[in-house]
Amino acid sequence: MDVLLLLGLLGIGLLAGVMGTVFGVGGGIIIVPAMTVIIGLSAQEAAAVSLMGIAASSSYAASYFIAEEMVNVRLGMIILVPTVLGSIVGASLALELPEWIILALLAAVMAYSGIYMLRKPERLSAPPKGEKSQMVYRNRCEVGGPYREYQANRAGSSLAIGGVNGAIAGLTGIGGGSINVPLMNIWMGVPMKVSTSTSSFIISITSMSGALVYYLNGTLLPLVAGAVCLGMLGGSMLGARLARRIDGRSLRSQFAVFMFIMGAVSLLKAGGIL
Amino acid sequence: MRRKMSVSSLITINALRLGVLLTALGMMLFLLGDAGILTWREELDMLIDAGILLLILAPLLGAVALMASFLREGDRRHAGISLIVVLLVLAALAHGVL
Repeated sequence: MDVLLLLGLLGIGLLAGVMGTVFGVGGGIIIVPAMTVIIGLSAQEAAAVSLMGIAASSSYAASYFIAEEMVNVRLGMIILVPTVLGSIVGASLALELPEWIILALLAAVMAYSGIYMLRKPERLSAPPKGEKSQMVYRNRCEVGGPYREYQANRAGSSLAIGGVNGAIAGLTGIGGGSINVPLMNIWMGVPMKVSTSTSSFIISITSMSGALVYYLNGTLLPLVAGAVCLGMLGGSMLGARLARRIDGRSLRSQFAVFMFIMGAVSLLKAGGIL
Repeated sequence: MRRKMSVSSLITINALRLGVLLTALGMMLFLLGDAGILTWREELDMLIDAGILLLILAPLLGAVALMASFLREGDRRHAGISLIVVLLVLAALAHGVL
């Protein structure tokens, strides 16, 4: 590996870290297509690199949010059980499945993420309707802010969605924040900020489980993963500073278009055209 | 609660820092090796591997610390759920090894 390639990998990681933090989506959406299309890794190798980077950067963010009491650790732990299980199954399946299936699934996830980005965030704070549960929690919704009490609904069905989310994450190498956040916010009625913080916590452990399977299987390329991971960690820190200055919402539509293009590229690669 | 939670954050962040340090050091030395200045390549690979393993396992260390904090609070239900999560991750580890 030469210095230029190493710098390129650091740059991709940095970009993924910044965009992931500013737009509130996991960096995997950028890492996986970049690794397969630009660097030329297989879908499995790209997923391994992406999961490792996500595990490191999201656990850094989650640690900060846990200290600020913005993470619902108890709810996160409950959702984590099926999600981790799904992630292990997904990563194991990815090692057996043909590459085109993973790339086609990746294209579908990217299209979904693009649509998710186009949705107005305000819509996500709609109060939940339907069945009620006894799961009452108390968290801060902003750094140093007051506590807010809320009730988490539909815990049972959310476990099934968590399992599917974990499997998709393990298969494609995408963290799953774009599924986790609406699941907790719209479906369960958890406040938006708590949902995004708890999602970071869930993603950190889910990605780690998938990355472990790839690492021990020898699919994870240490030098590539190391460079991308360092870039992502740096990007996440930079992104956290930039997010205070840039209004991420105004750039969401442009980013959604980027998602659709990358999804189309993945689909073309799945079809053997690229 | 805040103090106990901070312990898990502290453990995770410090494991990540150590992982970053080892990976960055390993990569810098790798570049020196690539330029022909250093010759001990196997030791460098081990350094990068150790850094990467720490970066991957940092969330697990945090989860174990959270489990301990639930136990200290007497919240057996969530301590049990945390234990299941930790065991599942260890299962992933065993699955990868086997």
